[in-house]
Amino acid sequence: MVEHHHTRRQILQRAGGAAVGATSLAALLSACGSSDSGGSAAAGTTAAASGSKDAIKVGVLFSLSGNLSIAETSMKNATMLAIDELNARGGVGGRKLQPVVEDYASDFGVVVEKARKLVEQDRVAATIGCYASASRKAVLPVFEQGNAVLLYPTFYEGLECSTNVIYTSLVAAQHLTDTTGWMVKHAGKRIYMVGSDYVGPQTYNAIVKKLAEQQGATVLANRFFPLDQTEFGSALSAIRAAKPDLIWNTIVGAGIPAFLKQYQAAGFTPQQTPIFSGICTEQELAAVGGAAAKGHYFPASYFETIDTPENRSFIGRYQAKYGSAQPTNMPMQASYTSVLLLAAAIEKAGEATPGAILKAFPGVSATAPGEGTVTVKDNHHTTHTVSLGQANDRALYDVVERFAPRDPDPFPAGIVPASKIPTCPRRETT
Amino acid sequence: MSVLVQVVCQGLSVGAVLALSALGLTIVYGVMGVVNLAHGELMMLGAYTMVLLSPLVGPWAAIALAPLVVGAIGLLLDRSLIRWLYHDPVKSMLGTFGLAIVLRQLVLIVEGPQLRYVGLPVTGAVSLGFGEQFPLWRVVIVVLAVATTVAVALWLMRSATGLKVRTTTVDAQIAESLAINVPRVNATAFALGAGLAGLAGALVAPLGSVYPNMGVTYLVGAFLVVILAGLGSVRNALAWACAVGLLTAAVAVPADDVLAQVAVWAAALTIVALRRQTLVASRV
Repeated sequence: MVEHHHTRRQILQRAGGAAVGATSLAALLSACGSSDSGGSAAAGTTAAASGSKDAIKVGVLFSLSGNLSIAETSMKNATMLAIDELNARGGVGGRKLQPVVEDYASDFGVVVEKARKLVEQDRVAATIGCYASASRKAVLPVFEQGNAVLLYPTFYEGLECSTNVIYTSLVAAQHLTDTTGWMVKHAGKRIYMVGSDYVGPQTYNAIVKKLAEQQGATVLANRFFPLDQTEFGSALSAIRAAKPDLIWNTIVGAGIPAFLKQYQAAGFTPQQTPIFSGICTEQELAAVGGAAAKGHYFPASYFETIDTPENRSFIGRYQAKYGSAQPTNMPMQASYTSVLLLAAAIEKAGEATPGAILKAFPGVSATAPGEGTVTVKDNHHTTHTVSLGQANDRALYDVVERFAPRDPDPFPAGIVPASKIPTCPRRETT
Repeated sequence: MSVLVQVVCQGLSVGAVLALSALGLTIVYGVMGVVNLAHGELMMLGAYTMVLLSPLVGPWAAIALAPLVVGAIGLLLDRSLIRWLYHDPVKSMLGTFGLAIVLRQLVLIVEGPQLRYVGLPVTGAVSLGFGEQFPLWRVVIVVLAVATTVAVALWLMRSATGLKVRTTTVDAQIAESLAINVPRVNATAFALGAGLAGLAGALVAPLGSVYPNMGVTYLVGAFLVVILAGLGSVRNALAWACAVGLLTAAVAVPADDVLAQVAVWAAALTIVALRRQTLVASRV
């Protein structure tokens, strides 16, 4: 996905050579250890499956240590919950799923090693994993060359449709189209845009700018900040002078609490000038605090507060397994749903080989907790129902509008030149 | 006029944080020739002190305790590690770089990688005229930064311990021959430097969030100021911090923050190149 947690920013820094860190060392150490620990982590939950010759091996590839572990551990947990529940129901066509858990330790070098192990050594039927776009881009060649299957459960910027990846969460245009219409209609036509200075936020902002202008709105500025910036006083002065009706925000990571808190401290209110964020799940919002978060908006296909029997049951099962204080959010719900989609694809294929699974995926559906039916389309992306959330004083989102289900469009017209829109899916690497 | 008011206020606010973070760094270099690359991590420890103590004792007491807690940690670090690195810039850089990694990793293990929340101790904003508002918390930071710098400078210039510190800064061997307890002076100076970092960390924590790697960002800014002011100079640090803050705001308010960073570093490089002298100031 677009690098939306502070920790991903730091990893980018590290990749840029700014800081060689303890995390690298820790990453290496845990990388050495975790080929075994991956197996043992899986062993407890799948004792029933591991002995079975018929079990279908599924790779589970997330960061369980290092900077990204806070988000990705919950995604691994949700994946394991879904696998355990599926196995308790008898598995797929009588065969159990056998998870092979690998920890890539928040390191975009280690993730390639781990992906290679899953694809070449373990010969898994499919892998569920990756979070930051950088990790997905890093493993693309492994999955394409090995003709393996990756289910990518994080919302992201699009502009990709690999033959070997099934994108199970939102893609940018699908994520933002209805929200843009809603905010222009309800909050006003003078938009001030801010974002972190790299490909994800730039793509998000370009899409929202295009859509908003089509609806008669004016984009007063589209201002980007260095990734590690947490000082927004100058920008807030400029915003005050520009007098916008609303702010469109794709600042990521530690910048999110800094921007929202400084916004409130400078005397702005969500009643006068609400902030609509593209990359700000409940996880980031927790560090903003209810006081500064309250009243601002974020669209997502899943919110913890969605009050349906299915979602209450989902949260209950998750917390029964992993602890009552464990929050739920969109990437982990998509991880859970990914297992259901994979099971449906294996069922449809009638066999658990990567080639057959890939062929079977288009048209496969599952019921996503708290969301409804999601279907994988020919372009390897997934239909979703987006809701617009408004933060409350507990720093959770209350749903203010539930939009109609929307098809995924990884190469939105107007953002990508018509001549450059490829036939999806395609090989992304050579 | 409105833009000018914005630039000055924002510049002073940025400058105040820079000055606070540069102060401890420059003292530690001045007294014992240690280039402390773990200074940002000491700030981070101050910020975590704020996270952990303010729910228990309230934000103001936590701010008062942060320099004491981090100062005490500094004392321990000085006696156990830093004292082996005195007056050897290369050794001290390697040693404190390693220390920084260990501190970040320890906090990551104990407190986890997530962003931590600290509420603003005072909310509200003061009106500046021209429709401009300035957050009250930033006013507090500017006032405390100036007060701290003046207090430290007075302590160095007027107090008996300050005299010993200055003597040690000029020549440690001669200071020792004058019966000054140099190890104690060094430990005091490092604890002071660490305490100042702790205070800076506690003050910036409410502006954003707190996380293990937060110190890296502040270290870069602090070093910029220290190099411009001359390594080891307390008096120049405040002035140069304000200059850097003002230049940042002068570009960032009307244009943008990426350009502001470019402008600041270009200016810094030009100044250092034109000076044609060592980066180290004449002592104190």
